[in-house]
Amino acid sequence: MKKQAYERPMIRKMNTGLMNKFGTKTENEVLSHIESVPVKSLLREYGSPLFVMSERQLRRNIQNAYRIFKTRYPKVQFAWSYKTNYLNAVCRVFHQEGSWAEVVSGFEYNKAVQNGLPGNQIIFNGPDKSNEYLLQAARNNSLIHIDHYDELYTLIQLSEEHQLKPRVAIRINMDTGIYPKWDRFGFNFENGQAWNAITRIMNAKQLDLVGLHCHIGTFMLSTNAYATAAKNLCELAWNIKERYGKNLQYIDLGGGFPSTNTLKGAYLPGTDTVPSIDQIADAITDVILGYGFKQEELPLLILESGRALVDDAGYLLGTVLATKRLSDGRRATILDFGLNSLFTSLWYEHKLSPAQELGDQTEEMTLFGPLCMNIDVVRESIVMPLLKKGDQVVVHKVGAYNMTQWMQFITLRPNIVMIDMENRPHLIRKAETLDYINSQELMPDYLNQEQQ
Amino acid sequence: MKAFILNLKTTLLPAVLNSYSIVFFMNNRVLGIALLLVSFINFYAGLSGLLAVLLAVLIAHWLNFDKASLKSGLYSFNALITGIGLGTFFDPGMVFFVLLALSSLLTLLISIAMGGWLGKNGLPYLSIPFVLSFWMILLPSSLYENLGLTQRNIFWINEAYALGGNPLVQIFEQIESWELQHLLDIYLRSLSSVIFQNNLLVGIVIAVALLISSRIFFSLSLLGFLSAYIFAQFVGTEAASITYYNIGANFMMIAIAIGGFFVIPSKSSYLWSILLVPLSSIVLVFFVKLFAYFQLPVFSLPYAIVTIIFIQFLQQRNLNSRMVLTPIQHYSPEINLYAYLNNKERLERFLYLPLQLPFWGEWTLTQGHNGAFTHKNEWQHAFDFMILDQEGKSYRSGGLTCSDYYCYGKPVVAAADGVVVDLQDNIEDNEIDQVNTAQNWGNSLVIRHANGIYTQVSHLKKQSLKVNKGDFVKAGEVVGHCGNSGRSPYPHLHFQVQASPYIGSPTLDYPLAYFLEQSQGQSLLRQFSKPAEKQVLSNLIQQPYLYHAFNIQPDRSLSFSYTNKDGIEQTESWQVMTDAYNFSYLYSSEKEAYAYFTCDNTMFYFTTFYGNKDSLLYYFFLSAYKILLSDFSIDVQDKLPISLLKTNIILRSLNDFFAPFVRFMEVKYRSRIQQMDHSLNTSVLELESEISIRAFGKTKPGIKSSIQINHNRIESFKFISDQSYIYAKNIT
Repeated sequence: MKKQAYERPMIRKMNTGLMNKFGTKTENEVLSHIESVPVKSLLREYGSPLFVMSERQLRRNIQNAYRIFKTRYPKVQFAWSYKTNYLNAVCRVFHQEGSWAEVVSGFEYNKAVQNGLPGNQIIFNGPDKSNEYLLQAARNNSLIHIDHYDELYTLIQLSEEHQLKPRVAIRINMDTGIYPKWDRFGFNFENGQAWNAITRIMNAKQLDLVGLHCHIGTFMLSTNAYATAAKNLCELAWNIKERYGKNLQYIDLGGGFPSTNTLKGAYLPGTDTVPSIDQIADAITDVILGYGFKQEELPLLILESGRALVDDAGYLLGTVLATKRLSDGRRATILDFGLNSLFTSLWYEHKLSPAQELGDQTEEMTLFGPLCMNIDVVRESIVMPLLKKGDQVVVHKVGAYNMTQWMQFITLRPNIVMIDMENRPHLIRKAETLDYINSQELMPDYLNQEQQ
Repeated sequence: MKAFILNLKTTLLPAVLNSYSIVFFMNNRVLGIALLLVSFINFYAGLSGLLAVLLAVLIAHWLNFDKASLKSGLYSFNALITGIGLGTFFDPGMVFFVLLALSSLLTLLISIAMGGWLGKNGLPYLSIPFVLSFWMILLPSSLYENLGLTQRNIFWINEAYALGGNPLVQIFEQIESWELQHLLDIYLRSLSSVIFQNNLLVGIVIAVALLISSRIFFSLSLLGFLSAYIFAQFVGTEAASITYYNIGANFMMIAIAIGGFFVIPSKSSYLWSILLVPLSSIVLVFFVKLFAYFQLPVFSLPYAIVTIIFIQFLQQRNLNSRMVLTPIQHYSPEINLYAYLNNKERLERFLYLPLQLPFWGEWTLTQGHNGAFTHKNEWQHAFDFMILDQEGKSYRSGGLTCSDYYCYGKPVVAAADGVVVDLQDNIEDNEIDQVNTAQNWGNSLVIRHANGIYTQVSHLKKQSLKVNKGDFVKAGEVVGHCGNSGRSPYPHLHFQVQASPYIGSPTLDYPLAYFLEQSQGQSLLRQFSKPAEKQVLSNLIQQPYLYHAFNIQPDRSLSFSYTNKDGIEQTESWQVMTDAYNFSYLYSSEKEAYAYFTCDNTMFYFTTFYGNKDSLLYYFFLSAYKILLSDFSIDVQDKLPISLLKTNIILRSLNDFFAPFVRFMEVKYRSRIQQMDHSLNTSVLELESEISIRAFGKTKPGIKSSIQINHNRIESFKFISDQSYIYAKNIT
């Protein structure tokens, strides 16, 4: 007979509310293995906390996305949104699966170049492009998506000076019926600013307008917004064809496809409310196919999806540091990761699973991180089995933004491993060390002397 | 005058020389000159042969008969044999030469008339005109008092003395005194008897010339000879009617004609050529006995008749995978064979209308031709497609409703341009696992692409059709959406090619033009083939910048400047021409070179080249032998006929001997996109190609070339081999 696991005693407040036929049991299925690798051994080998990426899931996601769009539309290209997760190993998996790169800074641009991507497969977005990087992108034949007039004029001037003819697109913002309106990026559609910018580019001999770009927001829960965006971009493309006789090469609808994480404040879990990529694809392709372009003039459809392709391929593994009871009687569990590593806990009600069998009893609790800051909360309220010091937990769907927005604050950033297609873990980013942090620091001489 | 000289060079001279070589079914200068020279060993016979040919060629040229046939000697070779025959048997004199002229004309008339009668049925007239016209001279000849039969061919040493004095006679005697092996002696004399001689030297010259010009014909002549000899041993020389002439002009000829000329040389053609020799021996004896009553010699009549009957016999088959009749006659068995082997794979596309897959993206073939479920009997040549995910599942969640299936509702596109001729759009989609056998095809659409070529898509979603009857649709245009209507337990797309315009017509066994097949993470390009079950398939997407560069339009011209081997700057221009059969070719008038090409929406390829191999066109032909007009980075592979390449002569001759059975040499071509400045509207692009020769198990990378495209135009190309480095720039 298996030895019964120890379960610490607990006190539960009697609740005489309405009867609930589901009882107190929650969906706390144990996740003891990630892609057949035991969580326990991962934590033993690479330390706690630990980020884990699944290569299999990454490939599955991008292949699914390609399948979904390519079976609906003849010309589709994905561009990997670097800011979502620019670990080189992750980027290379996407590039291997045929994704270009979408970058928003010179740093990201050169990261893409170093990942072996030819310049002509890099899309340069964002409001911050220095002259130096604009020139680099133009020389590399990259696609430069112009964000504002100042950038447009700078680019015209640079092209004249250096005898270049960069390929450009402009970013369009518009009212797609969602809030907040992302009108701080690009040129506005409704007030004619976009057409104005197009006219300016068409008249500039130095620029080659090849496409139109928009990115209507992030974590979009409405497919109609995409339909509206697609319609507006098609209208502009059509007008350019009518007015200038030029067929635009592509329409870039950006990203913003939601993952199945649950947003804070949402009543139902994300898996039930979030539109599937299929539905978004239907909305987009129906509009473009129905717009009236000739078969051979259909523009390439570029998508810059990030979150939806990487979120569920990432896991965060951690360990319980302590449990305690708060003054109001709530149970508090302190984990060895918090807001510093899991930045997205500001946005999501992350799903957590225990990594080992625990008893059937559950308890509502607050999950805190290790920082000595009040805001360091992983979950305000979650029903979990009775965790105790040393228990291991797994946070699901953490692949997007965490490994780029994480903070080296109070603690050092942990190891990241990727489990390959043969279920072998590989360390893809080493945990930071004191020396690593210090290596960037310089000591003025007079302070050094004082020490001696 | 200038025109006449040009005519002389380009048409008349080849016509005369080919009249000689085509006696052995070839257009070959070496053989032609050799036969011309040895025919003069019997001086008057040679002279009258030449005169008869000249007359026939000039008359045919003057009357504007087909230039190509004239050039290949088809009209005039019978006049040649008649001329040599007359010169051999009659004494020269005024009457003789008049008679010679008349008989040459008569032979020409009979040749062309017979060509008209037999040509319609695809049959040759061979040497029948010679036999007929010779008979017509022979019977009346006794009435011409001033025409004397000659005995010169019996006392040929006198002739030789008159021709070359003592030294020549000594050479002859020397050779005649060789103690040659008995068989070899008969073989050589038989060869010489084709031009009515009995002379070892002539035999040796012809044998060597035959070996130089064609290894296959040389081996066939030996085979015909041996077969006749062995048969004679078996039934007796008398019964087999073995004479030098009969061996040479009947038995060897039939072996050559059937073994390698009218039929593509192969194991079976060699076997038949052995069998037909004894058979024609029987025919021969029959004719000899029959015509003896009329005092007429049969000459090569038996061989001609057996050959014609045998060709007609072969033509009656529906399927000719064995004993293939030569489709395009190159007047060289080696070229015929290599071109056939090459074209068998390459030129199949001319037989088919290019069809694409009726969907976008990657779908999996779940039931193919003669499939396990419903593709049976009259409907066996159909395809069922579904979309599967990485795990091989066709649906997400439970798969209990149609919309769980990946393929459900996905666009279905037209397989080629055409007109909608039949449709059905209002049948309900089934629940999963239900089938509607009453309306088994479900919602369907039939498109007419050409007379007798229709495609049908079935089991579409209710009211999803985007087109009406009579609408014109373009290839790749959306016509409807995949559904689950009719005899369909779960959503899938049924696609078939058929010969009649109705829903549910019997299927045609028809290939798809170009598609990609995913195999172990690799994309393979498949051409004019039928996909196999469980394969993941997708269409190729044409890239306009490559298409515009290679879709070379007729009546244009291309000019290139380049530096030739001797370092001299040169230019060469190619006219783009279209022949009577609507085949396009590039023609270099400076170098007399032709390169036939064809370009569909997906592929540009050269089909053949002939003419001067020192021309720039030849190098371009090798560089751009086959180009995929899609920017998909995939190797395009092909094979070149060995005869089109400059290769080691010894290796090649060795290969020729065995080529009908096994090939030791193979020329492979490979091309792919090397770099492009952009994946979108590319303006600058470089293609790289490579030709490697595999000989006797060893592969040698031979030739590397690259083609630069700039703004939809071929800008330049580079060609690098051991012998040459050429950089040519488009200056059109």
